[in-house]
Amino acid sequence: MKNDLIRKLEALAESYKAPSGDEYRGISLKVVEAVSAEAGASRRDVEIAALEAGIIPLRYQRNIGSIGIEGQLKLRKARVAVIGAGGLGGTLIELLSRMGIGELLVIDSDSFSEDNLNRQILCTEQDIGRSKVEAARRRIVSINSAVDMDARQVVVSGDNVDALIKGCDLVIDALDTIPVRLLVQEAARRLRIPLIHGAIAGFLGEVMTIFPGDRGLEALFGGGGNAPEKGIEVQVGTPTVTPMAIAALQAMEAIKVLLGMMGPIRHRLLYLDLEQDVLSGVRIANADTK
Amino acid sequence: MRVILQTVSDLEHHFGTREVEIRFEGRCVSDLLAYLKERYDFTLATQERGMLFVNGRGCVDFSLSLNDGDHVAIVPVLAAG
Repeated sequence: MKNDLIRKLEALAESYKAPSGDEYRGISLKVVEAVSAEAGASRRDVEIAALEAGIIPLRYQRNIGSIGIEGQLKLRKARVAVIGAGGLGGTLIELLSRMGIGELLVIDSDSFSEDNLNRQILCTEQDIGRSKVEAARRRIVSINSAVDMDARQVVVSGDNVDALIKGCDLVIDALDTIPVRLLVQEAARRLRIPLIHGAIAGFLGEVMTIFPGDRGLEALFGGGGNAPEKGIEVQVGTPTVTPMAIAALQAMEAIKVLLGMMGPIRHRLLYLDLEQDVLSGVRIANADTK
Repeated sequence: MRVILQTVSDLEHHFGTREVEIRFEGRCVSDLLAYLKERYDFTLATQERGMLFVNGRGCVDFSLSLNDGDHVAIVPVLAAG
């Protein structure tokens, strides 16, 4: 099957010139669609076969200079969970789809309300009252139909979190309460899955990458019993720009982890103050790992 | 006692700097907080408003002893997504 796909792709690939002036072999979206339909393979599998043969789907050409064909291939094979499809989650879904993550598991129990319009990129006036995960599905399909999407409209709890994220290569926290974040961190630790934490309030945001065994959010809040439900966002709100900025940092952390790149924001909580143009980190002790 | 105090954002404005060496009379976190109240009119009123770390570990027990040179960080709690 894969050899057939590659033969078809070799025959249909054309020569293109990159901005650097280098030539490369590429395939257009139309070729991916046609080969997928003819071979009965998913568009994702067609793109994977192409990349394995050194043929670049044009949609990823501007990624290749930074992550290479091997990197793009790794992203195409990855399954990533985004928990929460609101401010952070909506932008994350947009970015990860464009980056070419292979499969996105999107979890959110909620529907859109009017006060989501200021910041939640998946929310339009027509979406008020509609499911967030269904909006995510429509957006992913419209951006990148070669991304497999698994949408779950459920409340994350201790009873279902393990089953939800099992099999993922990475989990991204786009939640809005601290106790559920702690639940997700515990599950990710049990299942040995890295977790990218993000949270916002006002013009402030924070990011931390937590590998299995890291104390992560426990260093901030303890085991969960004393953790507050909410933070200062109840006073300062969640203005438009903050989730976009923090989701971009989280998406970059996801790329770093999936590709094994240097320098994830680990053992420190990175704060971004958009109003004051300040980036600062608070060290998180990692000595007593679990 | 001498500790290094680190803050961010509006707390940074409160103290006038992101990192400052604090010298105070006392041995534990509650003594430090009493000094910060007296010197800077700062109160860690509720956990929702601020978290306190000592050498990178979250601290909710303010009877925790401090040592010379310890790093104490106070940061706001953010939870929205």
